[in-house]
Amino acid sequence: MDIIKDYFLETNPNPERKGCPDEATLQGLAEDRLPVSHPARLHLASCSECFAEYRGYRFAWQDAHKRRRRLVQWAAAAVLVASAGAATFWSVEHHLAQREVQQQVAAAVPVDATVNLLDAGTFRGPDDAATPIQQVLLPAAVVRLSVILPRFSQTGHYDIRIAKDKEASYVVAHGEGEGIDNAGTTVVKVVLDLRGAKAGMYFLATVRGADNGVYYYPLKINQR
Amino acid sequence: MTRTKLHLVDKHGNTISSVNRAAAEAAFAWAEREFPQIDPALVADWAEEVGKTIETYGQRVESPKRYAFAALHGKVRQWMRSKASKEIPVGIGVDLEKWVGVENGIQRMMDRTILFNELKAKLNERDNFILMLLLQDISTPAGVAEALGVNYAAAAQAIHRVKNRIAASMAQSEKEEPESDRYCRVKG
Repeated sequence: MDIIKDYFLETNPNPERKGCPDEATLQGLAEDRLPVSHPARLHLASCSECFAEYRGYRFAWQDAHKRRRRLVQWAAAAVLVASAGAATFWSVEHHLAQREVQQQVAAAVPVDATVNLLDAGTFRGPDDAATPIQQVLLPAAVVRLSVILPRFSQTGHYDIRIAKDKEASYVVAHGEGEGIDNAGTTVVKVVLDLRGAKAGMYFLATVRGADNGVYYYPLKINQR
Repeated sequence: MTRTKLHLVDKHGNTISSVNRAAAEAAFAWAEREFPQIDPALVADWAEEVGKTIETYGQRVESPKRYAFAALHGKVRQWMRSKASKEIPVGIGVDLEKWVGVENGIQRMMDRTILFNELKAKLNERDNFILMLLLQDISTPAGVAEALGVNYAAAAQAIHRVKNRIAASMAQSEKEEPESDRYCRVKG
């Protein structure tokens, strides 16, 4: 078609631009905005100047169209990559959150535990650290704890505390219960929420309500 | 964004207005693509000249873009005509062979002109319109039918007839070309 294009560019000179449509019309034709039957199309066949102008607009429009298409393709690719990233992120997050929820649900189910201090060597007060100690193990969960108090302990109201140190400056959990005599031993039942406790060494303290006597026992909390 | 290829300044060396710049650049982009056989540097020179002229005429130019296209197109056509008829003083031997190369160019140009004249004589207004529609990418019988206001079959037939006429003209032109003696006969 090149020779035909040249034919129209050369054989119909119209330097005075007689009967030429305006620029906007030529641009409309070039950008396919005007109908196929528009009369200006007929004029292009008889005016080399208008045809040249039309071709110029057509090229510019086609180039812009190509650029737009390329831009759209890039944008689509970017959206795709972003979506894939977001989906992966969501999947990982969702998985982690689900695991966390599962762990929390598991930790929320009370665990029964018994601490037998019947023959435990105790030490009273913060300075008595030299006495040999017996280590007690509890999970980092909600614990339904039965504490068998040392021999000859009195019945009555008790406060069971789990603290980071013997000064009880940072109490992780505590629960109150009645010390009841059970076949010669005194047992206190409390519920302790140890879910917030990190694994590590703590102290279990028994505080008797009547005389406020405090006894410490070393305790280890394990992560579930 | 297109890369700036033109140095568009007025006769005092000042940058020309943005409207005139856009007009000159649009015309240059068209000519560069439309006539790839012409050295782009040459086209750029003309486009710069056109830009300078538009700037000089200022308000008198009603449409800078239209002016730029027409002016640059005129320069291209003038160059094509003058290049074909350029006289080159030559001797014999190598010079003559070089000249023969130029001569072929002239002959091609003249063949082209004759072909165009033949096409103009053979094709009627309707044929020209159909060809123009094909050049505007309206190439289906349905599109041509809509443009001409005829039915599908008539449009298909009209397209076929135009193609046949062009093919006949071109075939005749090619047949005459190899040993054409329309312009000169070399003896000896």
